[in-house]
Amino acid sequence: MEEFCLLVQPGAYAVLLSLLRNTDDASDALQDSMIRIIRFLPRVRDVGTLPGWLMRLLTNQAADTRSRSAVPVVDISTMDEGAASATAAPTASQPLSPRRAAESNEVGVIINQAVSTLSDRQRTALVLFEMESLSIHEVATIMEITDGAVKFHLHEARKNMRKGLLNLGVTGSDLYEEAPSR
Amino acid sequence: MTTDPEMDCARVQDLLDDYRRGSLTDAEQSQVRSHLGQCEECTAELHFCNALAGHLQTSLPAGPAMEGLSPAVLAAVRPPHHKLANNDKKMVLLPWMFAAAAIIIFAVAFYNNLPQEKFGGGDTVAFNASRPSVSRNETLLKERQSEEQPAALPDLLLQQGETARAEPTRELIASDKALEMRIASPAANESGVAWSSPRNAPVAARKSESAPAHAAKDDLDFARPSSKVAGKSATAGANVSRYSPATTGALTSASISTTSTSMASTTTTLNTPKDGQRQ
Repeated sequence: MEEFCLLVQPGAYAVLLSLLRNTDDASDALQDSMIRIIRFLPRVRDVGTLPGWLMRLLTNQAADTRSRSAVPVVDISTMDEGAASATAAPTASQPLSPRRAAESNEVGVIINQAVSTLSDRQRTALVLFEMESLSIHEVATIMEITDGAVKFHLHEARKNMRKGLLNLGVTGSDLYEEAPSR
Repeated sequence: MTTDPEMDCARVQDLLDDYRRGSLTDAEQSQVRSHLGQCEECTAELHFCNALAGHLQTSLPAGPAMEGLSPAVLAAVRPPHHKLANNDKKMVLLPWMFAAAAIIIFAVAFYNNLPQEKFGGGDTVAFNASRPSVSRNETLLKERQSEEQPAALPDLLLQQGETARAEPTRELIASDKALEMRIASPAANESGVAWSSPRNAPVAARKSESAPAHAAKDDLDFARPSSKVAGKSATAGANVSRYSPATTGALTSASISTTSTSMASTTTTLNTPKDGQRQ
């Protein structure tokens, strides 16, 4: 069991960090997740279901951690630029004005800020699909919803991201220009 | 699924994520690709999705290196007897409990192989220590009766021995009576010193059996036929009473060990190895 935990932990942490966008929250969630894995892994009978089971455990744990940290969700997509700039980015050491952020190309900070405003389902669907490179059906299995529901949440997530980024002075074209090679 | 080579934007954007993952059929992939080549809006949406995915990856805050398991996780991974902090003491003492239980079991087996007097005498003395009033009164009564009718003793013992399984108390009383008889008789006085200490009783009794103490041996032979029956049938009853919580003196530690052993075995049952070690 100890070897299995060492094998799984880095990947688990990566997923949690993707979902939570915050190292402190991710570390807390990782510890809770590992303990839950140790406790419930013996109940998994079909090895084929293990990846989905793990991902589901991690996404649920991330949602629990996020609700425990009680960070107020601010919908920056409806804010004007002044109000949005006053909202501190969760991973930035100091509030960053959208204009300055855009000028200094700190798009990543704005990305994290925008992601934190998404609902749990939108963020989970977006992160699992985009960062874990899962298929629509695989995401649906993990989230225990239909394929159509996953597509809806993805659509809503991107819509809100686009709004939020725009409010922070980042346009779609900015993203394209800054798009890292994958 | 449409076979029309010209897909509309709504249909294409609905299939865009499947297209990006390569989850569509060859025909659908071809149709989407064809539409994207002709539609700037859908192409912009595709580029936005790809760029966003890239930024989601690169915008991740740098996390600490997860090189080992935290103490809390290690504690959860450890074998069951390490996880139960509240039962640590019990688990540490577990081998000693088993050893003590084994000693008790062997002692019981040893005593069971001895004649009734050696076996019952020591224990009845200890047993009587916890219940002096009732058994002593009955013992004195039986003693008076047996003094008046010494010849009826073996029959009495035999009768009481046959019913000992259902009436363990009577069996012990019979043992008490036999003990009282021997103490009172001159023959028993030769081993009277041996009877003074319950612990030494079986050992001293065995020595007296092997020694050329014919009077004492006669007593043993005298009681042996009945003691065989009484001894075996007394095992269950005597064991029950011997290991009861009311037992004091030499048997108190035995009862504690037995109780602790049952508790430890229960704890072990609740924490079977397979729960924490399956991979």
